Amino acid sequence: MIAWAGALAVVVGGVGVGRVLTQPGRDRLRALGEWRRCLEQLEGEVVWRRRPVGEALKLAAGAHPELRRVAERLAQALARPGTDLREAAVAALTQDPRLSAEEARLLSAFLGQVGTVPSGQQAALWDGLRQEWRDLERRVKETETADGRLVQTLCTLAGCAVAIWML
Amino acid sequence: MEPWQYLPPALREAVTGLPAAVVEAIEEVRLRVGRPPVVYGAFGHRTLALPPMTAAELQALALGMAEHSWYAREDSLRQGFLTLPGGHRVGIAATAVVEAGRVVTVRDISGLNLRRSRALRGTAEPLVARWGLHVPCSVLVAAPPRGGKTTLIRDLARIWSDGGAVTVVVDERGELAGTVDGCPQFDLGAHTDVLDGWPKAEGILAAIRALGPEVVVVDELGEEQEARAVALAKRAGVAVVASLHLGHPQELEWSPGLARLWRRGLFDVLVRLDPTRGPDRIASVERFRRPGGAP
Repeated sequence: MIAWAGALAVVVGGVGVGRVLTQPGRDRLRALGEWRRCLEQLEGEVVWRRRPVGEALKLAAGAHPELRRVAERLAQALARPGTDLREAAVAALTQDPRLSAEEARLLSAFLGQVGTVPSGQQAALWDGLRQEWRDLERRVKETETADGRLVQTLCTLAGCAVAIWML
Repeated sequence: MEPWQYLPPALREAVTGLPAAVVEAIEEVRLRVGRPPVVYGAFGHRTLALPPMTAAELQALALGMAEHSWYAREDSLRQGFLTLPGGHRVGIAATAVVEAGRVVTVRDISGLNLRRSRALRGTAEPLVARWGLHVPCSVLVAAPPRGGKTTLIRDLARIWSDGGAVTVVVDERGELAGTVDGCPQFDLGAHTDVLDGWPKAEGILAAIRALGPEVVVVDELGEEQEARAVALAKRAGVAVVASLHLGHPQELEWSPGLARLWRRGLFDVLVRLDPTRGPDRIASVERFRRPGGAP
């Protein structure tokens, strides 16, 4: 009986280890989704309401608690005279460790550019970002799903193997 | 908040490091590419001991003053200025970007003129005390640039509003109220509503339709459609207080639309300001008289 219980614990442990190992991938996907929703809100504020970037970021900070730290830090930096928006964006985006270097680079390049583009070209600019972000999210999802399944399966199988060996 | 708070630290310290009497009297800070910054005021001008400004510095400064959002400030950029919180105006010398014969934005900024906005309480008191403008009526205030027009009409709005007149300030350029996040930064009186950022003609009509004012206040009339909106306000029984750039008395005749405004009796009183006269700048107050009739 004790052997069976131990074997079960080992299998559950294997599944748990798999979950832990694949957690960063899930976090990254969640962060990308959260950023997408945040960007959609920013797009509305900038393109349709013509709200300045700083104000739009403050509103986004209120609506997206997970990104509040980044958005508030960026909005505060923008309120200081002589701030370079792109540099401020790079510094602020380091506050979200879930983003990869590529994603942070894409966002900071976009934020550095958005304020200088005339209103008539804003919709096209945001369309481009939306498309790029969707592609990025899809790629990450495919990779993370495949890798995650593999790792999860391996961990579960390892747990089962150890359990069989124990029995 | 003074306009130099929006300057980078070295420049800001150079301005605020001037003797206190000079800082208090500063009216403008002018930044030109290839030249050191200069401050202007009642004392004349003073060149700051700083290196010449570069085009990149001016561009970055202007972008910062536009809250890193050119798209949000296009309407004022088209007219060559930005308004800072507190009603301070930044004039922009730059190359126009023209599409289909219309200025859409500017590029290659070569100069910035930060103009300080100050509320001088009591500047309109002489109009009430000495000239008897106790009851709201239509007033046209004419003066050359930097003549104190905005300050005077803002104070007149405050006096009449505190006296109970429902007043609407149509603040196209953000200088009359200096609105920040929806809150006027100047005291415009107890019964005043502000239409911030509205084009003057549309703002006057919107005020009449929606806010039921006794007095509408607008800065710097100039366009024919604005004159038409003033005429509509007059017909609706609303007093209009407006200002007008006027370097010379004859200029009223040179500007046909505005001369018509005055001759048609759309304003009851014409106030001319003379900036060389010191604190009380009121040079003359003329009441409209219908030809051959009583005032």
